[in-house]
Amino acid sequence: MGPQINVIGSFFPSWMLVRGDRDCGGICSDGGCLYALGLDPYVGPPALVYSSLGILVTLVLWVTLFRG
Amino acid sequence: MAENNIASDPGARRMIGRVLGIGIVAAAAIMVVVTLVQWEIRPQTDDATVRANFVGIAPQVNGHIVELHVRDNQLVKEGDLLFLIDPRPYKIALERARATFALTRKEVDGLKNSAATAVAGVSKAEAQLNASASEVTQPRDGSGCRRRRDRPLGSAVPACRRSFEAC
Repeated sequence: MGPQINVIGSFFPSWMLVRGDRDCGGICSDGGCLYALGLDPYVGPPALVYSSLGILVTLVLWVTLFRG
Repeated sequence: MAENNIASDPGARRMIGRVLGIGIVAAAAIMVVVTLVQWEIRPQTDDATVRANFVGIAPQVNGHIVELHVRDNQLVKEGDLLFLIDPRPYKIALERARATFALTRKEVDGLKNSAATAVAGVSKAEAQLNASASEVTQPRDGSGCRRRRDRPLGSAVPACRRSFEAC
């Protein structure tokens, strides 16, 4: 489960908050950066790369914020 | 500048894109492994309890908690203040007990004064009794006047009046 985080009186698992934060602001900026650099067509299969990118950012945030 | 170079060279873009894509997938795989290792060697939870180090703490007095100085799972040491129970009822009880004590002490002092006054009254009464007895029983001329207490009630007094007058 991991530690519960109090958000305005409701408790959420830390991984859920990280995933929600990642979903809200991360995917657009990551995909936007690749697209802006013109690397979007060359990074490989989008389903694999963007899923891996989402997992990478989520786990980095989780380990950094809650396991540091 | 770098963006212009990348945009102007499709080969470079392709190379960088592939390296970046492979790097993303590899980094994600590494982070999954790191996370699993972290999950296994350092498990964390808010719901577990450890019986070996579980110590029940209860205050000796009851009351409402007005200050809480710890949070869940915080490491504390001996002597740390955990919470503060509302001291006002106990302060009021203390002041009331002190007032009762002061009142009782006043009452004791008053009773002591009354006892001293009563003792003095007893001494005064004894002195008056002795004085009255000496007036009655010690005629100066030794004429043998009878003591007032030996005389029956209602008996004639004038026979000894002269002797009393001489006393």
